[in-house]
Amino acid sequence: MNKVVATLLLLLRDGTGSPGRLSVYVADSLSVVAARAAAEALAGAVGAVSGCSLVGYSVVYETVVSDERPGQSDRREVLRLVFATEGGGYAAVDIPGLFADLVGEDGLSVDGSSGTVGALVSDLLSGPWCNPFGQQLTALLASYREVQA
Amino acid sequence: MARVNLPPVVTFSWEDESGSRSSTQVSIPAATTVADARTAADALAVDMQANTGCVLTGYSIAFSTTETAPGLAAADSRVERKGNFVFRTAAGKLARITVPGILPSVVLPSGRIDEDAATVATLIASLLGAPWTDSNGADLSALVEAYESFRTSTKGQLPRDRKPDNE
Repeated sequence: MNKVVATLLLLLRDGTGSPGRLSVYVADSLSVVAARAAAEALAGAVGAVSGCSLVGYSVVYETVVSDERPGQSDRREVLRLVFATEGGGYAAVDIPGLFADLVGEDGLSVDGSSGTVGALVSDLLSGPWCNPFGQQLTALLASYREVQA
Repeated sequence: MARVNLPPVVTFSWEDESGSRSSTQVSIPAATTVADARTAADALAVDMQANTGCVLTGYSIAFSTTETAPGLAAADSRVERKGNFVFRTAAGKLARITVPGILPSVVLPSGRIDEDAATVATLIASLLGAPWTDSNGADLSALVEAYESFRTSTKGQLPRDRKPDNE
């Protein structure tokens, strides 16, 4: 279920370099393009009453999932998938709560080519997913279990 | 001024058997629409859920824009100095919007923000117009009060040159 509002955060910085933010809300149905245009206009108005400088803004759309079942594994057991990306980059995707029966006998390896992990890898490679630099995922390099604090 | 739209980040939120929380973050191309991002996220969630005992509690999609050449902030500006604008919403509730680093020039001696100052009036008019709402989606309908307040400074916000000179 999508929340009825999306959150717009104006990110500011004062004369000492300390960060501050202004948050307001818009209807969830507002497009990103329209939200950005509104953010630009608001930033101009805020800039005239604040001594801070604008360093950026974010529009965050949220979806809530209603799932009554309790968790069944430890979040510290993490499935780490490492991908090569276009442009010679890398991307890592971590999924917490890895099922123990997906881990190999060595306690580390996870087969990324078959079963449910294979389906996940296939979805990540065929979907719009990329690394934080916008580089598309091209191939799975490694899949393994990692214990994270 | 140079704005750059960053690749949006989809953050999936999880809860494990003990109630502890964790997350998975994956990026998508900058041109992706919200609808397409949600479709892809729903599909990926199904595949992820087949591999984890954690419960998916939701996800968010953050479309961020960064200013690569931010202007200089006023030397005496402080984010702890807040301009508070409290509005009545169309649902009859109150919503507060806080502006960090409010200029002293728009604050009256009593601490009230001068809503008749041109720049303040412009900001208020902007907030009363589309598309701004409160956290429940109700339109902002009228300004109720506007005032200055101060938040406690964290250690990192203290002046870097606060130690006396050694003469």
